[in-house]
Amino acid sequence: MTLLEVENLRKTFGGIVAVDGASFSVEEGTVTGLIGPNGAGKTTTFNLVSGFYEPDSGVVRYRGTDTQELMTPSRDERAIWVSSAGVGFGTVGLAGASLSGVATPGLLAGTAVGAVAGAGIYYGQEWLRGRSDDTRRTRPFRLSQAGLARTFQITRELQGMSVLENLMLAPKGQRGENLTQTWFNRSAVLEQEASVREEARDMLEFLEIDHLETEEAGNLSGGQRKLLELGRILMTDPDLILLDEPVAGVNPTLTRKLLERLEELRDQGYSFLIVEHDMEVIMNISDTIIVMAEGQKLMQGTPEEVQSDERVIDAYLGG
Amino acid sequence: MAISGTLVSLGTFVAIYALLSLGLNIKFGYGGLLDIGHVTFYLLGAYVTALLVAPPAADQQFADYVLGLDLAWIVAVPIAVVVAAVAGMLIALPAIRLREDYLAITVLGFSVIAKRVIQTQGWLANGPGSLRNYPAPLRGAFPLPGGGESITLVGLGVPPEALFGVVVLILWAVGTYVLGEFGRIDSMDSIGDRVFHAVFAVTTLGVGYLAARRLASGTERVGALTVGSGLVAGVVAAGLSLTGSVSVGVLLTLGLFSVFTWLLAARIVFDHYDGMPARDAVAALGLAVAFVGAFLPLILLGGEGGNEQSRIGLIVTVVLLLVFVYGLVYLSNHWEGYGSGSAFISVVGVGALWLFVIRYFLLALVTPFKQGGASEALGQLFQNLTWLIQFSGGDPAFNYARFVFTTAIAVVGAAYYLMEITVASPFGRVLKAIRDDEDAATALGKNTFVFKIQSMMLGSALAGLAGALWALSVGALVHTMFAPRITFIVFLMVIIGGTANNRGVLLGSVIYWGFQKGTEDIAGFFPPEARSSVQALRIAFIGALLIVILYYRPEGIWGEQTTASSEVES
Amino acid sequence: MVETGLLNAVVTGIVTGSVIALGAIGLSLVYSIAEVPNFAHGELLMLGAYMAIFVNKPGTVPVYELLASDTQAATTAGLVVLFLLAAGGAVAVIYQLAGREGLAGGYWNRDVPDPVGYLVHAAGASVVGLFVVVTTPSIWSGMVLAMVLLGAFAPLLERRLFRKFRRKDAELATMLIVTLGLSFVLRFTTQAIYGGQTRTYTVPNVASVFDTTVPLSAAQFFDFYLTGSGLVVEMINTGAVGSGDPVSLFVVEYALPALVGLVVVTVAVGYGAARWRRQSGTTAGQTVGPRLTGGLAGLVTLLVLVVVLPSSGSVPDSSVASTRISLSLMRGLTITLALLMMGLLHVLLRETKLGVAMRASSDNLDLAKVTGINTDQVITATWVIAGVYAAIGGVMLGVLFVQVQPNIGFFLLLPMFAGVILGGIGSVYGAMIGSFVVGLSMDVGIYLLDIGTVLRVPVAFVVLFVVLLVKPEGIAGGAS
Repeated sequence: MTLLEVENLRKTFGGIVAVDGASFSVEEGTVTGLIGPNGAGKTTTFNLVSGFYEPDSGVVRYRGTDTQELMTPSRDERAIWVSSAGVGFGTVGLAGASLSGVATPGLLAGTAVGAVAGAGIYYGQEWLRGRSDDTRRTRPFRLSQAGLARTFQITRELQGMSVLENLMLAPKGQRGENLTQTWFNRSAVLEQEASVREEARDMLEFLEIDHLETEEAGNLSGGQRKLLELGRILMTDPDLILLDEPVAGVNPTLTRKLLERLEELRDQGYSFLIVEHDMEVIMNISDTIIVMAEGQKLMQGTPEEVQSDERVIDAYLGG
Repeated sequence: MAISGTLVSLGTFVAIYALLSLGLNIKFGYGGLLDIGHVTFYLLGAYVTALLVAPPAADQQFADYVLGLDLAWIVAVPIAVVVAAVAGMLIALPAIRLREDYLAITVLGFSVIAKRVIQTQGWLANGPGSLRNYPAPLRGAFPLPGGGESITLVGLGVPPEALFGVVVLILWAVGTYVLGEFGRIDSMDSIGDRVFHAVFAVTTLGVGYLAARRLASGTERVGALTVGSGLVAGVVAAGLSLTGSVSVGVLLTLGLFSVFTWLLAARIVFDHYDGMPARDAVAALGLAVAFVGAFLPLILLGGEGGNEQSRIGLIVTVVLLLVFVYGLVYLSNHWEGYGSGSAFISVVGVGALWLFVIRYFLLALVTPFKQGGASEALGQLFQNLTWLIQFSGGDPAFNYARFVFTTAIAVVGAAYYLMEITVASPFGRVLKAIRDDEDAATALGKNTFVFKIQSMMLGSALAGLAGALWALSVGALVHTMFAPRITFIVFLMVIIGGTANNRGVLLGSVIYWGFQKGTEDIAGFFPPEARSSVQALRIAFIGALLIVILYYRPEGIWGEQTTASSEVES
Repeated sequence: MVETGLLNAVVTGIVTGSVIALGAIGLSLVYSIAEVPNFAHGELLMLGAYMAIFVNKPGTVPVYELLASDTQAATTAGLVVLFLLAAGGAVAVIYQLAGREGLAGGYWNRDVPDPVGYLVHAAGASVVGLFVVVTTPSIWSGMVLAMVLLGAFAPLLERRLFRKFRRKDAELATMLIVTLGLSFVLRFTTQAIYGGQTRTYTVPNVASVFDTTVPLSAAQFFDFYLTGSGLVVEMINTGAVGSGDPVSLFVVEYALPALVGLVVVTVAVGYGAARWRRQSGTTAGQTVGPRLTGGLAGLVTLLVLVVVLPSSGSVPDSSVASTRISLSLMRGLTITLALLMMGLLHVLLRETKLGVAMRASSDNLDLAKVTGINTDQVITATWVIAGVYAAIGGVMLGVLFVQVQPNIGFFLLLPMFAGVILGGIGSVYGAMIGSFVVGLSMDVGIYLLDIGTVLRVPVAFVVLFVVLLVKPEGIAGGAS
């Protein structure tokens, strides 16, 4: 089954075309490599797929659904925000009107003005968010929730937190993230917290970094950070994992360890899309490889096909 | 006012500002939201509460304001808190997506506007004048016991003696609980410990001793004991007051309890500075004595009169102070020769404690000694010890200020507990993640926007609660109490104790008000015409202090809390 | 009787905008180049206002009053101190900008022996000092003193404070809190020294120019009457010397065709000039670009036509509409001064090496550093400019609003930030335009809403808030 479909993706930055009509797909249960010379648009593609950038044109489909659609607030969510903004500002309007001592029609008018203003502010900021790349990035959490998770090229471990906490942050649907649950349903929260902690410890063991449990994440080596980030992503229980240069700057021993884990995970049914510079690694691990050059897909095929393709060799030597 | 009264009012301010800074800590310390308009919500809480409990403006002379619903405090305060929280949401909704500097200027603007509106709109809350004459809850019954009239609670007439009994019950119950937590009898080795526990046993009518023993045996919770001891004390207090032995009742319960709090405080301090070498402790004492000594010329040569002699005293004192400050800086720079940098902070901390002891237990006795000799001084010492009791004309009583203080402390205790739970929960974890790296949190599927809004609302609600307490404690509100600089002071409290450390924030509040009171005392030594300058200088000093802390010790005195969620082992 | 109206509010708004702009320029430059969101910038203006008191009312300055013979007059010793302050300040500014080598003439294009450089600078500083001493106690003398002192002081903040934090990679939030702390230090130290009470400058009501007495601070009324046949303008001198009675100075009338002609010719000349400039010079980023050319040409044409066109008239009995503008010479001077300083800055940014470096650093500090620009020096220079402009703004603020208090700067902080954000952080031109928009909206706003002047700052803030909601990147558009 096709997990991810990318069609005619295009993105420009101030006149410079970063991705120019790329199309490819990722099948479930496979490791797909994404390679290409520097400036080929791999990382941009990554950011587009994970929702951190908004494409100028083109579609990214995850399990058949447009990711842009996934990231737009649902009808319910909108309703909640609009009504709370409306009620809030409406109350302000009502209070204002009643304080200035007008008659009933005035009160109603004040309330209405407030409510409309509140709804307007909500829609205003929605609209703003739609226009600006800078504010757009608060929505990609939806994709992560839907099972499309990513890592970053430069690892984004939370340096002030312990390794264990970094992992415990990740799982979805934690009761304790809800304040009322935290305050009034403490035993259930603590119970779940204990199980999340167990889960995190298992993950540390799986990645063989359990000795680092209480270490602050900021003190880890580059390779350990990559492992931690992989573990953290796994904790969100994803289906498709986007890895941005998972072995860059990692020593050979750790690299081997990481690759073993990836294979193990693929056998468990996870799917991967990996950007990687290390050719040996990518040829070893990938089932399919997509080669990009100058913002477009050059070809897609098995490692053997890619290795023997003239165009690929040209692109690398020419680029 | 006796100095114990000053301590009580200072303690009330500490509690209120601790609440305020707990709120800011949730926003700034944990959530990373740079809310330099925090005072807006404080203002809202105070004014909404006051306007709700006030009688209709039509009944008042020379006052004009809205609402005046005559509500009970118990109803008004939650409303005010909700209003503050909702206001926080309304401001955050559009502003929170902005860059942090834009957010800062936006919320600062709101705080300026809120103050201006209160100041200029006479119809709203009595214009540039003060909003006063709103009732204080249970005010009529004080001073307890028996000083006031019966009050009506939910339709029942309650005699003040019974109310007193309830107050004592709560105090003792809480006290015993705290004792169970802190006053562990885990060692009976040294003579000191034995003496300590013996005194404990006496000051708590034996209850504390029993509680601690049981706790030490590790088998029993102190739950029943806490309520039990409270009940005993409450009944004793109420009974004795009813039968006419008011003084005995008050002294036996509140008096003992006051002494117990000193012991407890001493115990906590000793525990905290457990590993401190004796030499450091002496050094700290030396610092405190040197500091006090610097003022001797001013006091001895007379600071009040404008004559030549007093001027010399002033100059000598200022020079001595400068030498002292220089010495302190020199010590801090060369402390490595003696120990680590944090050891120096401990020394300064202990020095400050010494200073408090000297001021409270020694200097406060000077005037009574001059007036009435040793017996007068001893009487004063006794009053200072039994600080929860007010002696008006020799009759011991529990006055309203102490009631407000107790309430404020209880509220802060509850809020602190709630915040500790909150930041140790997954909610707090996500908040910290957003502060450190919003992209990472997003990539993990966290709706950062919602979390930020919640932290804003929570922090604002606490500020609103602080405002309500402020309205209760001062009894009259003026717009100048809510100047933008309050936010700044609260920032100082958060940063000084340790950002993202709730305990540190409490410490920050104590330090700030200690400093405030200390400088007020100092300003009192100076000639009247120089006093306003001293007042201004101390705000300037606070600004400088903030910069210095941010540069040399950005993590504050206690640093960020070591992540509590890993401590909550199952 | 003619009432003041919207037009008057607009003119007042332009005056307010001028003062805001003088502050906002520094704020914006420091923000974009030194990357300091300076919440203490208002305090720089306040300091400028207080420094002018040194000259204007030496008798009221603590300690320094010992050297004053009268409220407004300093003794010889006082004058010497003034001279030293002004000359020393001027030398310090050069030192801050270019260091010791600079004082020896290191930044000149030709090689000179060190002593020559020192001599020339000493002479220049003496000129500044003498100017201050000779023109004492005029407000202009105070302004010059404030300019050199603040120009020397502001970069000190950078060197002693902000640079250290920058070296530690302090976050924006930390920087912001530091500036807040600094603002408290400056404001309350000033309050401790000067006391909290309101102070005022003594500005003469009249000035003598070529033996003609010109009213300086007294309001002049310009009454406009719109009649069926045209526009009648009457200028009334309210503060006539000697008597308090208003004196009508002149009445002129613009016929309708003349009015139409005025508009058409102005627009045509402006447009034509802009077009000509656009075609003649193709290089982007000229100092005098098409828009500026067009604007200047239009302005000159307008002024000429306003003087040339009218015929003498008389005040009509009835009019379709009438309004009054109240404008004093001092207010006019404020606008002129602000525009002049903006022009100077424009030339500096476009024509000098420093200006180019500043613009490069504003775009990207790290990149500028890599390309060999001495960014530390550029940042220092930025602070000098911010200090000088703040000094002018502060003194004008004190003159126009008649009171000098420790908190005047803080109250101007929100409008200045509004101007900067409105114009888009990173664009000093945007900040200038933004400041005028904010100034206009403040004064026009309180006029239209009919609310008290205490609410001017809130009005400015509402404008800012709306801008942040609708277009957070500012009217100049581009992100920095």
